[in-house]
Amino acid sequence: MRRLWMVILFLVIFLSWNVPMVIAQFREAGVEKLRVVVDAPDFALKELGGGKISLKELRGKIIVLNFFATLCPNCRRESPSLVKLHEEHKNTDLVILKVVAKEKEKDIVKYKKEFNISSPILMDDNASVTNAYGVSSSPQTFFINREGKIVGRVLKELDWTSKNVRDLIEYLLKEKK
Amino acid sequence: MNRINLNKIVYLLLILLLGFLGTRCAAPKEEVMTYPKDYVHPLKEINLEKVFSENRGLKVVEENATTVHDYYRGGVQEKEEGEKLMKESRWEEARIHFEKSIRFLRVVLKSLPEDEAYRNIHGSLVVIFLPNLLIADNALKLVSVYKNMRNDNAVAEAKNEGQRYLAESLKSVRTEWAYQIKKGFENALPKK
Repeated sequence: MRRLWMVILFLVIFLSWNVPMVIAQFREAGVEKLRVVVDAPDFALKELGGGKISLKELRGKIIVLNFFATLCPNCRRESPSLVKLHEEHKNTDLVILKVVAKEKEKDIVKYKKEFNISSPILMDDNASVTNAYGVSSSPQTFFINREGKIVGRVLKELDWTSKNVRDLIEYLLKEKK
Repeated sequence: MNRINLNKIVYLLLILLLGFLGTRCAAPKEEVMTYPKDYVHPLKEINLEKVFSENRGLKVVEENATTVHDYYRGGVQEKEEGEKLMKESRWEEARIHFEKSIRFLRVVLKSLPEDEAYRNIHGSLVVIFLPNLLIADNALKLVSVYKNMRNDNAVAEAKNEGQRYLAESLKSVRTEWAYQIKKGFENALPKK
Protein backbone atom coordinates (compact mmCIF):
# COMPACT_ATOMS: atom_id res chain seq x y z
CA MET A 1 0.00 0.00 0.00
CA ARG A 2 2.81 2.34 0.99
CA ARG A 3 4.55 1.56 -2.29
CA LEU A 4 1.43 2.51 -4.24
CA TRP A 5 1.25 5.85 -2.44
CA MET A 6 4.90 6.44 -3.24
CA VAL A 7 4.26 5.81 -6.94
CA ILE A 8 1.23 8.16 -6.93
CA LEU A 9 3.25 10.83 -5.12
CA PHE A 10 6.07 10.47 -7.62
CA LEU A 11 3.64 10.79 -10.54
CA VAL A 12 2.00 13.91 -9.07
CA ILE A 13 5.41 15.54 -8.52
CA PHE A 14 6.58 14.52 -12.00
CA LEU A 15 3.47 15.85 -13.74
CA SER A 16 3.24 19.09 -11.75
CA TRP A 17 6.91 19.71 -12.57
CA ASN A 18 6.85 18.55 -16.20
CA VAL A 19 3.68 20.26 -17.52
CA PRO A 20 4.70 23.83 -16.62
CA MET A 21 8.20 23.07 -17.98
CA VAL A 22 6.74 22.19 -21.38
CA ILE A 23 4.56 25.29 -21.43
CA ALA A 24 7.56 27.42 -20.50
CA GLN A 25 9.62 25.81 -23.27
CA PHE A 26 7.05 26.85 -25.87
CA ARG A 27 6.65 30.33 -24.38
CA GLU A 28 10.38 31.00 -24.22
CA ALA A 29 10.69 30.03 -27.87
CA GLY A 30 7.97 32.58 -28.75
CA VAL A 31 5.54 29.81 -29.71
CA GLU A 32 1.94 29.75 -28.55
CA LYS A 33 1.33 26.28 -27.13
CA LEU A 34 -2.19 25.10 -27.88
CA ARG A 35 -3.97 24.22 -24.65
CA VAL A 36 -5.93 21.58 -26.51
CA VAL A 37 -4.12 19.81 -29.34
CA VAL A 38 -6.21 19.60 -32.51
CA ASP A 39 -5.98 17.60 -35.72
CA ALA A 40 -3.99 19.33 -38.45
CA PRO A 41 -6.28 19.63 -41.51
CA ASP A 42 -4.96 17.32 -44.21
CA PHE A 43 -3.92 18.65 -47.61
CA ALA A 44 -2.12 17.72 -50.80
CA LEU A 45 -0.41 20.62 -52.54
CA LYS A 46 1.67 21.11 -55.64
CA GLU A 47 5.35 21.65 -54.89
CA LEU A 48 7.36 24.34 -56.61
CA GLY A 49 9.55 22.54 -59.14
CA GLY A 50 7.18 19.60 -59.54
CA GLY A 51 5.60 16.88 -57.44
CA LYS A 52 2.94 16.90 -54.79
CA ILE A 53 3.18 16.75 -51.01
CA SER A 54 0.45 15.41 -48.79
CA LEU A 55 0.42 15.96 -45.05
CA LYS A 56 -0.87 12.45 -44.39
CA GLU A 57 2.24 10.95 -45.99
CA LEU A 58 4.42 12.80 -43.50
CA ARG A 59 2.77 11.23 -40.44
CA GLY A 60 5.47 10.31 -37.94
CA LYS A 61 7.56 13.43 -38.66
CA ILE A 62 7.68 16.73 -36.82
CA ILE A 63 6.38 19.37 -39.20
CA VAL A 64 6.93 23.10 -39.17
CA LEU A 65 4.26 24.50 -41.50
CA ASN A 66 5.13 28.06 -42.42
CA PHE A 67 2.62 30.25 -44.30
CA PHE A 68 4.27 33.21 -45.98
CA ALA A 69 3.93 35.79 -48.74
CA THR A 70 6.78 36.82 -51.02
CA LEU A 71 6.30 40.56 -50.48
CA CYS A 72 5.71 40.44 -46.73
CA PRO A 73 8.67 42.15 -44.97
CA ASN A 74 8.28 40.05 -41.79
CA CYS A 75 8.39 36.85 -43.82
CA ARG A 76 11.49 38.03 -45.62
CA ARG A 77 13.18 38.87 -42.32
CA GLU A 78 12.62 35.41 -40.82
CA SER A 79 13.43 33.50 -44.00
CA PRO A 80 17.24 33.22 -43.57
CA SER A 81 16.93 31.75 -40.07
CA LEU A 82 14.33 29.22 -41.26
CA VAL A 83 16.67 28.20 -44.07
CA LYS A 84 19.43 27.72 -41.51
CA LEU A 85 17.18 25.61 -39.27
CA HIS A 86 16.35 23.41 -42.25
CA GLU A 87 20.03 22.99 -43.13
CA GLU A 88 20.86 21.99 -39.54
CA HIS A 89 18.08 19.39 -39.36
CA LYS A 90 18.36 17.87 -42.82
CA ASN A 91 19.03 14.37 -41.47
CA THR A 92 16.41 14.39 -38.75
CA ASP A 93 12.64 13.86 -38.60
CA LEU A 94 12.03 17.61 -38.84
CA VAL A 95 10.23 18.66 -42.03
CA ILE A 96 9.84 22.32 -42.88
CA LEU A 97 7.08 23.09 -45.35
CA LYS A 98 6.54 26.58 -46.67
CA VAL A 99 3.11 27.45 -48.06
CA VAL A 100 2.34 30.43 -50.23
CA ALA A 101 -1.17 31.38 -51.37
CA LYS A 102 -2.34 32.88 -54.65
CA GLU A 103 1.06 34.00 -55.94
CA LYS A 104 2.64 33.84 -59.36
CA GLU A 105 5.13 31.01 -59.85
CA LYS A 106 7.82 33.36 -61.15
CA ASP A 107 7.62 35.44 -57.94
CA ILE A 108 7.96 32.30 -55.81
CA VAL A 109 10.94 31.10 -57.86
CA LYS A 110 12.58 34.50 -57.38
CA TYR A 111 11.98 34.33 -53.61
CA LYS A 112 13.37 30.79 -53.41
CA LYS A 113 16.55 31.87 -55.24
CA GLU A 114 16.94 35.05 -53.20
CA PHE A 115 16.92 33.18 -49.88
CA ASN A 116 18.44 29.95 -51.16
CA ILE A 117 15.53 27.92 -49.81
CA SER A 118 15.96 24.18 -50.03
CA SER A 119 12.88 23.08 -48.07
CA PRO A 120 9.73 22.38 -50.11
CA ILE A 121 7.61 25.36 -51.13
CA LEU A 122 3.95 24.44 -51.63
CA MET A 123 1.66 26.46 -53.86
CA ASP A 124 -1.81 26.99 -52.45
CA ASP A 125 -3.27 28.44 -55.64
CA ASN A 126 -6.85 28.88 -54.45
CA ALA A 127 -5.85 29.54 -50.82
CA SER A 128 -7.97 26.61 -49.65
CA VAL A 129 -5.27 25.32 -47.29
CA THR A 130 -4.47 28.81 -46.01
CA ASN A 131 -8.19 29.23 -45.27
CA ALA A 132 -8.48 25.81 -43.69
CA TYR A 133 -5.72 26.72 -41.24
CA GLY A 134 -7.42 30.05 -40.53
CA VAL A 135 -4.31 32.01 -41.45
CA SER A 136 -5.01 35.68 -40.83
CA SER A 137 -1.52 37.19 -41.00
CA SER A 138 1.90 36.59 -42.52
CA PRO A 139 4.01 34.83 -41.52
CA GLN A 140 2.09 32.24 -39.53
CA THR A 141 3.59 28.91 -38.51
CA PHE A 142 2.15 25.71 -37.07
CA PHE A 143 3.99 22.97 -35.21
CA ILE A 144 2.58 19.53 -36.01
CA ASN A 145 3.63 16.53 -33.91
CA ARG A 146 4.26 12.97 -35.03
CA GLU A 147 0.58 12.09 -34.59
CA GLY A 148 -0.54 14.80 -37.00
CA LYS A 149 -1.79 17.10 -34.23
CA ILE A 150 -1.12 20.81 -34.00
CA VAL A 151 0.69 21.50 -30.75
CA GLY A 152 1.70 25.12 -31.24
CA ARG A 153 1.58 28.12 -33.52
CA VAL A 154 3.43 31.36 -34.10
CA LEU A 155 1.56 34.43 -35.34
CA LYS A 156 4.64 36.56 -36.02
CA GLU A 157 8.16 36.35 -37.39
CA LEU A 158 10.61 34.31 -35.37
CA ASP A 159 14.36 33.89 -35.09
CA TRP A 160 14.46 30.21 -35.93
CA THR A 161 18.10 29.91 -34.90
CA SER A 162 17.60 31.15 -31.34
CA LYS A 163 18.56 28.77 -28.54
CA ASN A 164 14.99 28.58 -27.25
CA VAL A 165 13.60 27.58 -30.65
CA ARG A 166 16.34 24.99 -31.11
CA ASP A 167 15.58 23.57 -27.65
CA LEU A 168 11.89 23.34 -28.50
CA ILE A 169 12.62 21.56 -31.79
CA GLU A 170 14.91 19.13 -29.97
CA TYR A 171 12.20 18.53 -27.38
CA LEU A 172 9.63 17.79 -30.11
CA LEU A 173 12.05 15.52 -31.96
CA LYS A 174 12.65 13.53 -28.79
CA GLU A 175 8.96 12.68 -28.55
CA LYS A 176 8.33 8.97 -29.12
CA LYS A 177 7.35 7.77 -32.58
CA MET B 1 17.07 78.31 -51.64
CA ASN B 2 17.31 75.67 -54.38
CA ARG B 3 19.23 73.43 -52.04
CA ILE B 4 16.48 73.66 -49.37
CA ASN B 5 13.81 72.76 -51.95
CA LEU B 6 15.87 69.81 -53.13
CA ASN B 7 16.22 68.57 -49.54
CA LYS B 8 12.47 68.85 -49.06
CA ILE B 9 11.84 66.83 -52.21
CA VAL B 10 14.31 64.16 -51.12
CA TYR B 11 12.67 63.90 -47.67
CA LEU B 12 9.22 63.74 -49.26
CA LEU B 13 10.33 60.97 -51.60
CA LEU B 14 11.88 59.10 -48.67
CA ILE B 15 8.65 59.35 -46.64
CA LEU B 16 6.62 58.14 -49.62
CA LEU B 17 8.99 55.24 -50.19
CA LEU B 18 8.92 54.19 -46.52
CA GLY B 19 5.16 54.49 -46.44
CA PHE B 20 4.90 52.28 -49.51
CA LEU B 21 7.22 49.65 -48.03
CA GLY B 22 5.33 49.70 -44.74
CA THR B 23 2.02 48.82 -46.36
CA ARG B 24 3.32 45.98 -48.51
CA CYS B 25 2.40 43.20 -46.07
CA ALA B 26 -1.19 44.26 -45.68
CA ALA B 27 -1.93 45.46 -49.17
CA PRO B 28 -4.44 43.24 -50.89
CA LYS B 29 -3.35 42.14 -54.32
CA GLU B 30 -6.91 41.80 -55.46
CA GLU B 31 -9.27 44.69 -55.11
CA VAL B 32 -11.87 44.19 -52.41
CA MET B 33 -15.25 44.53 -54.05
CA THR B 34 -17.18 47.68 -53.21
CA TYR B 35 -20.93 48.11 -53.48
CA PRO B 36 -23.37 51.02 -53.21
CA LYS B 37 -24.66 51.38 -49.63
CA ASP B 38 -28.22 50.33 -50.49
CA TYR B 39 -27.14 47.27 -52.52
CA VAL B 40 -28.81 44.10 -51.35
CA HIS B 41 -26.46 41.13 -51.65
CA PRO B 42 -28.44 38.25 -53.15
CA LEU B 43 -28.70 34.92 -51.39
CA LYS B 44 -26.68 33.11 -54.02
CA GLU B 45 -23.78 35.47 -53.29
CA ILE B 46 -23.92 35.55 -49.48
CA ASN B 47 -25.45 32.61 -47.67
CA LEU B 48 -24.95 30.34 -44.69
CA GLU B 49 -23.39 27.49 -46.67
CA LYS B 50 -20.74 29.83 -48.09
CA VAL B 51 -19.91 31.13 -44.62
CA PHE B 52 -19.61 27.56 -43.34
CA SER B 53 -17.33 26.48 -46.18
CA GLU B 54 -15.02 29.47 -45.63
CA ASN B 55 -14.52 28.55 -41.99
CA ARG B 56 -14.15 24.79 -42.09
CA GLY B 57 -10.80 23.15 -41.43
CA LEU B 58 -8.75 23.68 -38.32
CA LYS B 59 -11.10 23.20 -35.37
CA VAL B 60 -11.23 26.20 -33.06
CA VAL B 61 -11.71 25.30 -29.42
CA GLU B 62 -12.37 27.96 -26.82
CA GLU B 63 -9.19 27.19 -24.89
CA ASN B 64 -7.02 27.84 -27.96
CA ALA B 65 -8.76 30.94 -29.31
CA THR B 66 -6.67 34.10 -29.00
CA THR B 67 -7.30 36.25 -32.08
CA VAL B 68 -10.51 37.89 -33.35
CA HIS B 69 -10.24 35.67 -36.40
CA ASP B 70 -10.14 32.55 -34.15
CA TYR B 71 -13.30 33.66 -32.40
CA TYR B 72 -15.09 34.32 -35.70
CA ARG B 73 -14.14 30.91 -37.07
CA GLY B 74 -15.09 29.30 -33.77
CA GLY B 75 -18.48 31.07 -33.84
CA VAL B 76 -19.17 29.80 -37.35
CA GLN B 77 -18.01 26.26 -36.57
CA GLU B 78 -20.18 26.04 -33.45
CA LYS B 79 -23.13 27.34 -35.48
CA GLU B 80 -22.64 24.64 -38.12
CA GLU B 81 -22.65 22.00 -35.39
CA GLY B 82 -25.83 23.51 -33.89
CA GLU B 83 -27.60 23.49 -37.29
CA LYS B 84 -26.69 19.84 -37.81
CA LEU B 85 -28.04 18.81 -34.40
CA MET B 86 -31.18 20.89 -34.90
CA LYS B 87 -31.97 18.98 -38.10
CA GLU B 88 -31.77 15.80 -36.04
CA SER B 89 -34.18 17.34 -33.47
CA ARG B 90 -31.49 17.12 -30.78
CA TRP B 91 -32.69 20.36 -29.21
CA GLU B 92 -30.68 20.48 -26.01
CA GLU B 93 -27.38 19.72 -27.75
CA ALA B 94 -28.20 22.20 -30.53
CA ARG B 95 -28.95 24.87 -27.93
CA ILE B 96 -25.51 24.44 -26.35
CA HIS B 97 -23.76 24.94 -29.71
CA PHE B 98 -25.87 27.93 -30.77
CA GLU B 99 -25.27 29.61 -27.43
CA LYS B 100 -21.55 28.89 -27.64
CA SER B 101 -21.53 30.34 -31.15
CA ILE B 102 -23.15 33.52 -29.85
CA ARG B 103 -20.54 33.73 -27.08
CA PHE B 104 -17.71 33.48 -29.62
CA LEU B 105 -19.28 36.06 -31.93
CA ARG B 106 -19.83 38.55 -29.09
CA VAL B 107 -16.07 38.48 -28.48
CA VAL B 108 -15.58 39.36 -32.17
CA LEU B 109 -18.00 42.29 -31.88
CA LYS B 110 -15.98 43.79 -29.03
CA SER B 111 -13.16 44.43 -31.51
CA LEU B 112 -14.98 44.61 -34.83
CA PRO B 113 -18.55 45.78 -34.23
CA GLU B 114 -19.62 46.18 -37.86
CA ASP B 115 -20.63 43.57 -40.40
CA GLU B 116 -18.81 43.57 -43.74
CA ALA B 117 -19.97 41.71 -46.82
CA TYR B 118 -16.35 41.03 -47.71
CA ARG B 119 -13.47 41.50 -45.32
CA ASN B 120 -9.86 41.29 -46.41
CA ILE B 121 -8.18 39.21 -43.72
CA HIS B 122 -4.79 38.42 -45.13
CA GLY B 123 -3.01 39.23 -48.38
CA SER B 124 -5.56 38.57 -51.06
CA LEU B 125 -7.82 36.46 -48.84
CA VAL B 126 -11.33 37.80 -48.49
CA VAL B 127 -14.09 36.31 -46.32
CA ILE B 128 -17.76 37.03 -45.67
CA PHE B 129 -17.75 38.73 -42.28
CA LEU B 130 -21.18 39.04 -40.68
CA PRO B 131 -20.95 38.51 -36.89
CA ASN B 132 -24.15 40.48 -36.14
CA LEU B 133 -26.13 38.61 -38.75
CA LEU B 134 -24.84 35.24 -37.56
CA ILE B 135 -25.93 36.04 -34.00
CA ALA B 136 -29.35 37.07 -35.33
CA ASP B 137 -29.61 33.81 -37.28
CA ASN B 138 -28.54 31.83 -34.22
CA ALA B 139 -31.22 33.61 -32.18
CA LEU B 140 -33.85 32.73 -34.79
CA LYS B 141 -32.81 29.09 -34.62
CA LEU B 142 -32.86 29.28 -30.82
CA VAL B 143 -36.47 30.49 -31.00
CA SER B 144 -37.36 27.16 -32.63
CA VAL B 145 -35.17 25.22 -30.23
CA TYR B 146 -36.70 26.85 -27.13
CA LYS B 147 -40.22 26.37 -28.54
CA ASN B 148 -39.51 22.69 -28.86
CA MET B 149 -38.12 22.67 -25.35
CA ARG B 150 -41.26 24.56 -24.18
CA ASN B 151 -39.23 27.36 -22.69
CA ASP B 152 -41.44 30.41 -23.45
CA ASN B 153 -39.38 32.93 -21.50
CA ALA B 154 -36.27 32.02 -23.46
CA VAL B 155 -38.22 32.30 -26.74
CA ALA B 156 -39.10 35.94 -26.06
CA GLU B 157 -35.56 36.72 -24.97
CA ALA B 158 -34.04 35.12 -28.07
CA LYS B 159 -36.45 37.04 -30.34
CA ASN B 160 -35.58 40.39 -28.80
CA GLU B 161 -31.88 39.70 -28.89
CA GLY B 162 -31.99 38.42 -32.47
CA GLN B 163 -33.92 41.42 -33.74
CA ARG B 164 -31.44 43.77 -32.07
CA TYR B 165 -28.44 42.14 -33.78
CA LEU B 166 -30.33 41.97 -37.08
CA ALA B 167 -30.89 45.74 -36.95
CA GLU B 168 -27.16 46.22 -36.27
CA SER B 169 -26.27 44.06 -39.26
CA LEU B 170 -28.61 45.93 -41.60
CA LYS B 171 -27.01 49.22 -40.57
CA SER B 172 -23.80 48.21 -42.34
CA VAL B 173 -24.68 45.51 -44.89
CA ARG B 174 -27.91 44.64 -46.66
CA THR B 175 -28.37 41.03 -47.59
CA GLU B 176 -31.28 38.99 -48.85
CA TRP B 177 -30.35 36.58 -46.07
CA ALA B 178 -30.96 39.28 -43.43
CA TYR B 179 -34.43 40.00 -44.88
CA GLN B 180 -35.21 36.29 -44.70
CA ILE B 181 -34.24 36.28 -41.03
CA LYS B 182 -36.40 39.36 -40.47
CA LYS B 183 -39.34 37.52 -41.99
CA GLY B 184 -38.53 34.53 -39.79
CA PHE B 185 -38.77 36.68 -36.66
CA GLU B 186 -42.06 38.23 -37.85
CA ASN B 187 -43.53 34.77 -38.41
CA ALA B 188 -42.27 33.67 -35.02
CA LEU B 189 -44.10 36.52 -33.23
CA PRO B 190 -47.11 35.41 -31.21
CA LYS B 191 -50.38 36.02 -33.09
CA LYS B 192 -52.54 38.78 -31.65
